[in-house]
Amino acid sequence: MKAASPLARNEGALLDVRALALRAGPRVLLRDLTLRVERGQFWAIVGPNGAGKTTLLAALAGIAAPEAGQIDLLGQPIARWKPADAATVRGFLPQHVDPLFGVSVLQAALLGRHPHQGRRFAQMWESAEDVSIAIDALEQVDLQGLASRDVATLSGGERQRAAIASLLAQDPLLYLLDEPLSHLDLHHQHAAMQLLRRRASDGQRAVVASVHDLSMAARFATHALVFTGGAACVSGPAAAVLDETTLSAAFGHRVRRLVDGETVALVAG
Amino acid sequence: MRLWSLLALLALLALLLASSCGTRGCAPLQLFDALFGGGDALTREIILRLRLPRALAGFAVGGLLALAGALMQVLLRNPLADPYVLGVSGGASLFALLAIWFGAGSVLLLGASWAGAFASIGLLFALGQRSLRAPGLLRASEAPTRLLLTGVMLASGWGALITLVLTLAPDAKLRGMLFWLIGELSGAQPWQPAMVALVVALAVSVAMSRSLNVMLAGDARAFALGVDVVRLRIAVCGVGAAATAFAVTTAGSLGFVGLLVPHAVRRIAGNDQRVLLPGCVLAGGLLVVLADTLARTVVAPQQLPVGAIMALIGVPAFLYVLLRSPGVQR
Repeated sequence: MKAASPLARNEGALLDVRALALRAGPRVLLRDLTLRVERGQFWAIVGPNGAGKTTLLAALAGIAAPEAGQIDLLGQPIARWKPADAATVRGFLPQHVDPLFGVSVLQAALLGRHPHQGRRFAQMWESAEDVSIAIDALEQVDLQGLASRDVATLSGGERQRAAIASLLAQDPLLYLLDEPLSHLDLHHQHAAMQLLRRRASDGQRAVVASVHDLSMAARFATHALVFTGGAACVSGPAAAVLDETTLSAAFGHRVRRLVDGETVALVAG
Repeated sequence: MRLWSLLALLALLALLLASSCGTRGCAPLQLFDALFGGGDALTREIILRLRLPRALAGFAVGGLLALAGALMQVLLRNPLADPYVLGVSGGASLFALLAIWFGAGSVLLLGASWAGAFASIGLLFALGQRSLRAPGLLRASEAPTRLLLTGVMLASGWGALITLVLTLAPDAKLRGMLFWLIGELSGAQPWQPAMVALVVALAVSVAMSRSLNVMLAGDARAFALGVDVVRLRIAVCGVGAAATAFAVTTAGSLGFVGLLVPHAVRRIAGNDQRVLLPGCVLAGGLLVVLADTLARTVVAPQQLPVGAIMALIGVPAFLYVLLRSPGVQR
């Protein structure tokens, strides 16, 4: 399958999920999920620890086969995509990023260009364009000053931003991120969510990210999927789904919605 | 690129030095005479038939071992991995010792060590199948640890059998066996197979090198970036094991090169496999050629085991680099 044809096609859902069931060992995490991720949408995946957020994202990325159901990426079953072709249209940032050593921040960002570089011998090195895309990605996560530093010398939050930069450099149509805000300080959490929102809002791309900070989800996501327990979930527009009743039931803890002008905060009550 | 040119130049000089020095003293001019068909017949014979092939074999072996070591360190995500970690040399050694025991000639000895090395590789793949195929997509991969353990077990098994052979073998054969185990270049082995293997292994490794960089970021990210992790892992394992087999069958199990050359080059050049792998080949070859030249000239006509010489030079040099540099650095 050629990556170019679905890329050029500009209609239809990026992801079409039907009757999806997920399982981790003996535990059923999710039963019968139907979901369409359209261009322009920013989905927040919300739920308690161990609910299945990571397993869902891995299934959507085509990395772990689901128990049952169908996942189509740009109209083709995800399992039928060749890894190299899929990498040009969907990106995935796992929660656990293996520590790199002896690799500069710029090189780490350049990893995202791998799927776009040719596989011929002459194309082994990044082009000037690849480098400028990677530098641009580093600027977006505020790491331009650290480009030549060894990733191993960075703090946890800086490392997470470097990983986000590699996804930005990959620049797929579908961004899948597992807890992208972990280790980030308040400002950079905000900046990262804004960045993802901007990527989605150009109408070409879509973002699906698991988020623990409910206020962040309410503020930036257009849509949300909440694991409500018992292998069930609720999904839909963020404003409708992220309400006190649903969230309180999902987390088994009272959640209050505070409104101050235009800012909405969802806090533990 | 500058690193490669520098290393290549040094390696060339080392090869020239190795060919011109020997028990009859160092005479670079005679070397050029010999290379261009002049000089007296005996000198020419010594240089072209003995020293040059030996130096080339040393270069090939050093390059193969350093390359295999670098590949193993990426494959197993373990800085302590060396070419022998998967037990390939154990199989070669056992078969070679048995061949020595039964008085096999040099051709049969070579054949036996070949058979042993590749039997060991076959065993590794048969046992390691599941480990190689286990992708660590959600959690940190288990594959490296399991593969490492499989290799360590294989190596222990071979080690036990080797000890048995050494205990039971007649005294007269022990010295030859010991020398085989320590590893030596005698000038008797053909250098061509190792050199061809080196060129092929380097070409394959370099072709995979950008994917290897991506794999360093973890299985899940590598897969998401389009790398077929399982296939790549099998390929790396195969190339590394084959490179080790060619090195071991040429010069026995030389220690040190495969473990420390990749570390040293990584400290200087960073962890980009596209730079690192060719750099390791050049540096590994250079080191073995120099050490072997020393080993056969210092107390000539006595020859010292090249592995011991290498460690004697290398250990202080590496410790110096290691202890001088502050923590992690580019």
